[in-house]
Amino acid sequence: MEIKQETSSDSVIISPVGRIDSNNSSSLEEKVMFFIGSGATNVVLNFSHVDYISSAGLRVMLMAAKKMKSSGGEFSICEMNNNVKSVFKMSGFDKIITIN
Amino acid sequence: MPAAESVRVNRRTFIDGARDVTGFAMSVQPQLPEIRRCAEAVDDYLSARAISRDVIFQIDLALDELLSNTIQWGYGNKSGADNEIRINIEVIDQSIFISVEDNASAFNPLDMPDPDVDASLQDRPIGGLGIYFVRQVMDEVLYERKNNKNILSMRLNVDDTNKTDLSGV
Repeated sequence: MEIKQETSSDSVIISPVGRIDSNNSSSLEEKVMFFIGSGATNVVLNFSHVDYISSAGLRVMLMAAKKMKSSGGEFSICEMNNNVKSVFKMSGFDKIITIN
Repeated sequence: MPAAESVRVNRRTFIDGARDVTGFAMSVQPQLPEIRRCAEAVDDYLSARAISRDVIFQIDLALDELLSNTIQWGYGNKSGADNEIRINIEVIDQSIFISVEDNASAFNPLDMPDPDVDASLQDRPIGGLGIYFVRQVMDEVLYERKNNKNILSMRLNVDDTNKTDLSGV
């Protein structure tokens, strides 16, 4: 899976491309957890190029949100398409994760 | 014929395996990369039947969740000469009938409890959403264990507003 990233001081924007499913969610997990572990205090997932997400992808988002919350940092997801947003709504994650 | 009766007849036809000549049938190996291959074939089949992108997204999601569950937990990621998952789809009137059949050990996904989707971030456990999505997306889900196979039969209703207008094509 192609994952783009931009970092500036303590912020990072991670932009995955394509589908996020059980077949590739572990590579996204590795990348997101790496940035969180390296001390980023503001982690943004840009979903403008994500056209599909399954529960395997949501699992990564929940882990990241929990970890950032416990370390007092900010975690958010932006630019979701409507179908991807519907998966967040179905799971109730739209109420516990910041979606911009 | 009353609507309820018509649905019942269609479902029986479906479960008994009588095939609409234009039905979709695919067999996949229990390996995660197969899910995407299946999704692409399902997308082609449903697009050709004027099913909307939004409905196809939901069906992709349900199939993805079921297949990844079966592949990872049912088969433990082991492929074998006899291991296969069969997916059948038929579009009849305003309903899409889907069945997923595997020969992994007995597992009724409908026995899984629903997650608490109102729990706070701290209390929310990681996992347990896949089967919940299947139940949310489908209008009906039935499980059977027959001939050493797990068979999940599902129905999703689409209305005219979800269909792409093909008149004039």
